[in-house]
Amino acid sequence: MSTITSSPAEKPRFHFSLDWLGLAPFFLFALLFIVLASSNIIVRSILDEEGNFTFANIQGLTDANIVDAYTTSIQISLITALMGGVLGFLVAYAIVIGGVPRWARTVIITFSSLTSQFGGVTLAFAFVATIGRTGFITAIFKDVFDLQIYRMGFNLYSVLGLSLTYLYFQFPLMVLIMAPALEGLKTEWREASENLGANQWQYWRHVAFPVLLPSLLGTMLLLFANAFGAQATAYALTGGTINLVTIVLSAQIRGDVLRNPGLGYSLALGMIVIMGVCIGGYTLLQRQSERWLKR
Amino acid sequence: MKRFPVWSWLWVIIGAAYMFVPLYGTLDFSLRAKKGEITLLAYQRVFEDDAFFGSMKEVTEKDWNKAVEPPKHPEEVSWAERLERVTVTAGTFGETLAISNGTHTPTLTPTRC
Repeated sequence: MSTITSSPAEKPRFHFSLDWLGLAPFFLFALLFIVLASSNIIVRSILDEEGNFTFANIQGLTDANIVDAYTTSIQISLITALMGGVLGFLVAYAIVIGGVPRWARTVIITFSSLTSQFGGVTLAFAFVATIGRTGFITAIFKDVFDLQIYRMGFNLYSVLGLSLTYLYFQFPLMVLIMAPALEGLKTEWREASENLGANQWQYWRHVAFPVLLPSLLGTMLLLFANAFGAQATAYALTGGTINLVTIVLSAQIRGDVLRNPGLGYSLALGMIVIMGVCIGGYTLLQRQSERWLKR
Repeated sequence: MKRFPVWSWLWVIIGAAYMFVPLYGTLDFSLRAKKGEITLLAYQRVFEDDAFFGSMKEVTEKDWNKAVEPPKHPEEVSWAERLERVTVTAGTFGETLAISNGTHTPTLTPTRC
């Protein structure tokens, strides 16, 4: 008679892999520029200039001017996230499943990688040269269509103008993130839905869109955060004429007139909270999307 | 026979145009340093300017502030808007560069067009 003996369950021994060393620079960077920097902002937002504990800086966030700055920043971020999201999704759809040739896809993806990182003075100048008062598109509207867009109420140095400028780096980011998600849609799903009698609309309504929805919403949150944190483009294009959080923040920390570093730190804290919610939401939605697309 | 993907091409063209048109606008603007002429004068001036190569070595915070600092006059105008006004007023890209590196300050006319 044979007996089956089971060896006592061994505890998995901790084994340090040298592979972790490769990640050390990343963790060091994250510690210095995310953890320590954020902690510094949090601490300084509750200290006055003498280093005493105070809630005055946080209370300062309820000031009408600050509330207005947050409102405008959120408004621009929402507009550009929605517009960039929709345009980016349509372009990504066109190049991945829309049936355009491979070279068009390569060109769009390559330029999206470049333009999604474009910003600051260069971008501001590009839009001034294009749809500024003497921009060539403005001139074409005037000469060819007899339309004077600035007399019709358009202004590049307004919320609309700034949104159009932000859109330049927003929608390519959407293209870059949505293209792999669209590639993840399996042909078997389409074939199965067709076999079951679904038409194109029904396939998108009941299969593809629900699968892509977390990716779509997550990327739009990322676009929101991207626009919310932008400063250089807005400053170069509009100076201080549009009241944005990033511009108010820099004025409070570095300005001659509005200098109040404590309030600046509490503004930064507010931004960290909003950005944290966006990035957290993006991560959760992206995880959900990946789970579905891997099945 | 496979249908021509009209809608896909439409979105690709719109997307590509949004990316390329502002770049073309910048190129077009840079070639109009002389009124009514297409010229490389602006590039020539840039390469002749010692400050350009100086800025390639190190852009300090001071240089940056000099280039983009909003004007001190009461009506607050952005750097880009100033740039455009100078272009309208002075008519040459050279004048604009002169302002950006702080070597010469032509009279600005802060009037809204």
